[in-house]
Amino acid sequence: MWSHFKQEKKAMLSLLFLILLLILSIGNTFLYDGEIRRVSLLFDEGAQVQAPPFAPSLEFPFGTDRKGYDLLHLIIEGAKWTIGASVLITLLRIISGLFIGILIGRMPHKLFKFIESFFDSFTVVPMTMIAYFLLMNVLVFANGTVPDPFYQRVAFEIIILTLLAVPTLAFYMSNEIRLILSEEYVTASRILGGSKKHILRKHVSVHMIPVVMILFMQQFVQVLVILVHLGVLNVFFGGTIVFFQGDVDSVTHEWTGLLGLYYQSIMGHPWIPLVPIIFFTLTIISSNFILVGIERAYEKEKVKFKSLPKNSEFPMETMKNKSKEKRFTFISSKYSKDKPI
Amino acid sequence: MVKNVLATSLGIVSQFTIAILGIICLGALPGLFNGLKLNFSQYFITIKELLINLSEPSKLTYSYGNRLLFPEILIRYQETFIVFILSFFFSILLAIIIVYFLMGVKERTLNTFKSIFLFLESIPDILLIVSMQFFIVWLYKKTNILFVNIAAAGDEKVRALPILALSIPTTIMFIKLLLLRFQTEFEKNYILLAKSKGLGKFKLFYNHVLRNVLLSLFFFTKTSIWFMLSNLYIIEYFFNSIGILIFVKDYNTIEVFTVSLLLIYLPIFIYLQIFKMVTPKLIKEVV
Repeated sequence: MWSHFKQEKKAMLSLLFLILLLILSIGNTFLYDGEIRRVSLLFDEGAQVQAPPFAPSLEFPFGTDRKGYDLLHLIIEGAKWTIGASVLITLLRIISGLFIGILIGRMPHKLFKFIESFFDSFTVVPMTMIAYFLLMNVLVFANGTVPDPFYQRVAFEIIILTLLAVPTLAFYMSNEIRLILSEEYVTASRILGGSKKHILRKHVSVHMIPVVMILFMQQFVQVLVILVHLGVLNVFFGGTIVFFQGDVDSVTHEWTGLLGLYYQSIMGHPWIPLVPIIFFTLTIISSNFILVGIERAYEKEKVKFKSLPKNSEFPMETMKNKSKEKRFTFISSKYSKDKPI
Repeated sequence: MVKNVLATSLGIVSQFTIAILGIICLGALPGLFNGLKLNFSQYFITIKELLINLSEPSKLTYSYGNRLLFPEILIRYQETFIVFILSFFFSILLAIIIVYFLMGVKERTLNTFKSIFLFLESIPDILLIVSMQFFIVWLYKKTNILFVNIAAAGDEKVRALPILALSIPTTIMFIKLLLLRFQTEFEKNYILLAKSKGLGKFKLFYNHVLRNVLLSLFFFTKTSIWFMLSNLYIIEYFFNSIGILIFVKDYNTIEVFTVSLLLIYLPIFIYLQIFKMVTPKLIKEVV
């Protein structure tokens, strides 16, 4: 898989970009102690004093914000929080989705249907809306009041953003596992005396790994988009401080905070909010390219199997089409079973 | 036959009841958190109160109990509904036209288009919205004509830009779905037969492929609806529309949230159930 993935130039480049961003960000904390370059006054050619915000220039490639902080530096410092948190949330989503998916897949059919109907509204109602509704009550606090400790607020946000996606993911995964279990080779294995554990380890997990990887990238993008939306709505990662004048401030330097804080100045100093938006966009584009890279590598891997003479009788063609279709049935995959045409 | 219909309708009703139960439990969730601690007894009390409040919908209020919820929320609901439906059909139509032209191009050009779509798809909606607003303002500065309103003030309605902003990502999503469907459909044998009989490209596309593809496209509407609603939420915020999604954001009490969820969920549920019932018959006719 990896050898095929290496050949995908765009995907490798994207991976490199994300890794570089993370290394720079972590390096900034260790080498500079998280300090951010700040210039409060500048002299232009006529020796006139100029105050921030400074527009993008040679010295500040992305300009500075209203307090004179270098925006590029801010973005790099914040990258590890935003990307790190998104990766963590995505990982938790996938792991709990897989775990619960296996669990509900073993339930009797009636109970499964009951749970499915119970969480049906999750599949149509926007996640940002639910997340905002729940987080608004906990993460926004007035300046001067004693909020809950920082790590608790972060943990709460991570848990909420994880739990909101678990129902849909769990149903998707359990359907996917059910499809694998209905394959002929699984029946053959069972007839030959393979235990449940054996089938899970030798057959299901092998086919689930690429599915999980693809889901991981999809979910990563989804988490990033939700964080952007929440940032615009002034719910920042790690909490929002509301000042008396209605001003808001973010606790860490992560991107959603930057975005939400500077959004008001979009018409006056457009580069300030645009910088975090552009970095978000770059991260999402990179993730999508990596996703496509993984998908292509996966397809190639299958073709490799197909060319083996041993498996020439194996109906790979139909399987390939099936998996292609399945990928688009992300949430409503249950309909694909009684697909009419 | 009668028994069968009875059984399915009973199944649908029970399914619907369970789903509503789920929505109520979701709406009452803030009651579960006391600060950051879990409080289950308080949660059950909240659910009970919510149920009592919901049993008399005409007495529900919003904005700290000052105003009555019911006529107001329906007006907002209608606004969201109009924007949603218009851009849904606009996107499907646009996607079909684009895919029709894409089916004629070479494999390599198609791949280029696919990467372009991937790129466009990755652009977050806020960047799209912000650049649209900038563009309109720039046009206004240049020509002194305000082509469309960029944001609503008061009770004004802005529809053109929200519909456009919602249609762009939706169209890309539909194009992606349709391309895949069309490609698998065009590999089928009946296409080969029709081609060998000398059917024109447009007739083949319109009479045979489109019909089969559209039906299967409507099967995936749940994902599409979810995707569109997520986008619409942020679009309503940016354009300051008076839709229901932003109403929920502004007055985020438990009652408003639950009623809105019910209002959003109900038509989607009905639509999907009707579609499930009707499709097998339609398919039979097509075959």
